[in-house]
Amino acid sequence: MRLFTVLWVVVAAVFGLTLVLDVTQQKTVYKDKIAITFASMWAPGEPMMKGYEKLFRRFEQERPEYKVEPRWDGRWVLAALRPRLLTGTNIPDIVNTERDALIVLVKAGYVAALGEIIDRVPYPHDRGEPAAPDKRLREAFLPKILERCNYEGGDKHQAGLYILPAGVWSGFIFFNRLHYEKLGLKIPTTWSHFLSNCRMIKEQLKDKGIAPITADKDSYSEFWSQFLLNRTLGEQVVQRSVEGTGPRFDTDPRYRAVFQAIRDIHQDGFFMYGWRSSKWPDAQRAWTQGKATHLICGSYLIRETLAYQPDPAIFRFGAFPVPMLDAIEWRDMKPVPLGDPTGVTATIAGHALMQDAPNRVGAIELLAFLARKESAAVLSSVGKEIPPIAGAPFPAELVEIQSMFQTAQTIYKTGFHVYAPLWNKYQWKDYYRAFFMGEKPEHAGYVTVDAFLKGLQQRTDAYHEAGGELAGDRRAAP
Amino acid sequence: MKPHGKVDLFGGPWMVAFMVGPGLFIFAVFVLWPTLDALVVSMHSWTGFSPESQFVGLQNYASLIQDGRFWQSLANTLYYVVLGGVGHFAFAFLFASALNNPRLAGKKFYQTLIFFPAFISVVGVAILWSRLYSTTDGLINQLLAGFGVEPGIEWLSDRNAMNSIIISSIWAGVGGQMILILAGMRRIPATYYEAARIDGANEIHLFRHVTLPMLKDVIYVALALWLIGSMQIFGLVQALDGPDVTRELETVSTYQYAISFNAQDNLYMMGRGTAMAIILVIIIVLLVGVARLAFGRRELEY
Repeated sequence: MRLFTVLWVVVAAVFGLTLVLDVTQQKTVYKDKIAITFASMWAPGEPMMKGYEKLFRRFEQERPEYKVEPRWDGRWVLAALRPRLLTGTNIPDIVNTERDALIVLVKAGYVAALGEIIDRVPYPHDRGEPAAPDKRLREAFLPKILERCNYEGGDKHQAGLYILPAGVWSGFIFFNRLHYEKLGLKIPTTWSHFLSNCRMIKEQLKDKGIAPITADKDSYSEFWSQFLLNRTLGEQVVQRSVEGTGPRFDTDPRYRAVFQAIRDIHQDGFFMYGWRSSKWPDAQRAWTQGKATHLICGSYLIRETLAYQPDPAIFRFGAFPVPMLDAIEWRDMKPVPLGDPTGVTATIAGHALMQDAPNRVGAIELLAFLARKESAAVLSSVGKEIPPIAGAPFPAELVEIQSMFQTAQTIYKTGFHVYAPLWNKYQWKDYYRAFFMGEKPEHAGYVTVDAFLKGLQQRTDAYHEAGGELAGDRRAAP
Repeated sequence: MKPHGKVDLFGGPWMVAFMVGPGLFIFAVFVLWPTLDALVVSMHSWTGFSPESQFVGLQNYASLIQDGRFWQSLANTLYYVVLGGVGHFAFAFLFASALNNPRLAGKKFYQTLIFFPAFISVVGVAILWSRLYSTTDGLINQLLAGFGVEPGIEWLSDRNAMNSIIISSIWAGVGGQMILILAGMRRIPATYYEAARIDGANEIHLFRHVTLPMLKDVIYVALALWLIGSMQIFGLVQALDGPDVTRELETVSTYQYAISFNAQDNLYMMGRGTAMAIILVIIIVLLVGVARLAFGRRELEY
């Protein structure tokens, strides 16, 4: 009986520890093969997952000694990693998610520095490509995108490169080419041209139930302001305003010009009926059903709309960069705008090599393989991802934007959360939403541009007076 | 008692330890330890990832007390608890009374019909209702248009969404309360009603002076369950309004989640999020305590 009691306690303890330590997900042992574990932000069935699976099979054919073991954790890849990191069990070799999320791991000391590695590892040639022995892995990436992957440094970890770019999402105004062709419209290059196109669509296509713009109540509406602000003021100016050390929102005329431009798209009949109450993906669905011409979104829209299988008789994909404010306004503006009208926004997905990667050598080989042009082409065609690899083709839907993107002098970050996460979430988003959606009775229809900018500045001042944190702070998050 | 000087394993304290020990062990590992650990985490500055954290004492609690956003999320939660509670219990009583009527035919069918939404996952409920509430092609607006109501009601706009969420929550959850109340009603001896009728009581008198007092303990259980569940309302709000839940809809749980795990905004403030969870537990305990004072203390005897 005593033996039975002891056994019972042992079984209970093992059961408990199994759950706590998550050892049930131990790696599979492959005979004569070395496993490389790849934890990814993509979920099973997503186009990017299919693209990666295809690449892993190719890699295994070329390097039969390796077996890639992907874990499709989805957007919760960090949450799934958390217990493994804290207990030190089942650490993957490579983690694939957004750059900003990976920086959290970098700050915690889990990620290996890559600066020296990419200058040592040879350039990853495509199959059959002539060898260039002097080239290194660093040269495979678009330099501006690689630069954006740098970590600025902190108390414990040196500044440097810890992340290799895996893919890029950039924001554009997407449009239905059939509507443009039907009305003989040209792709707009200025804001007034864009408004004039919208006016024409409203006049000519309203009877057919087609609106110039579709949107929903989710966060994409912020893109209008973020793209225009970066291009008009320059990212660093905007960042300093958010941090409370730059030009004031309520007095700088450039802010007024940007938000007036956004207010100008709120003309009667421009937005699709019921947009304020609709939720993602209503706007996308309506757009692919030909119910509206324009939709602002990130380039991931292409793969998100794949499932709708749009009817080519009513819908054909198109995209153009958010048009700049008009030249006259731009030229006459004081202080002088510091943004780059050719700049593009980029949210970067990356690959990070873990500090305690069980198979570091294999993982580096896989990272180099994924940086080939032909690998990027697979993710571009199957996953519809903008490749961060020099010379790799864009998804067919964005082919017109390829040269502009690859030669852009400025790569802007997407979202204010990169400057001040709490300000972004609790001062900016809500208030911008009130301005953009304008549905509250106390606003008597709309918040005016001046009232919005005054309120935004007051909120920003109050935020800093209360000791609000900034992303640049080296303090730990509270 | 101890033949041959050996320990008696089949009786006495050893047997108690043997029977209680495993349960106690599991309770300690999976409930007690995480609870105590949460208290510790709430007093630290921690991203949730780093093996290191910084002790900040009660700073996370002080930040929350000064945080208008937290108070608004609490007010939104209480709005849901009170208005949703009134709706849930009103319909639960209505349905239970109807199903307790001996003259009603097809009771099992109606009972199943009302309870059925409880089988649907909260995300399923959210998807279903988001389609029903759609301004452009939602069934509700189309039905209302049939009655001549002006089209274009924005059910899920920031202004209307909390009330819309309460309606869908009543649809999904009223079956649970109804079953509890119905079981309580069926437990009341018919002789009490007969005696009251002889004394001249009408249906309202019967409900007020017989049914309600006899259901006090059941109401307490249902109310306590409602308070515990509704104060933690998360899934329906997040699924219907997420990923960025707006200020008008934010509840304590969605705020806690946004602060602790919000990859979208790069927020990983596990210490403050855990402090919020501790405050929520304290509020729930207090509310359940008040409910117990009101409904659960005295046994009723006739």
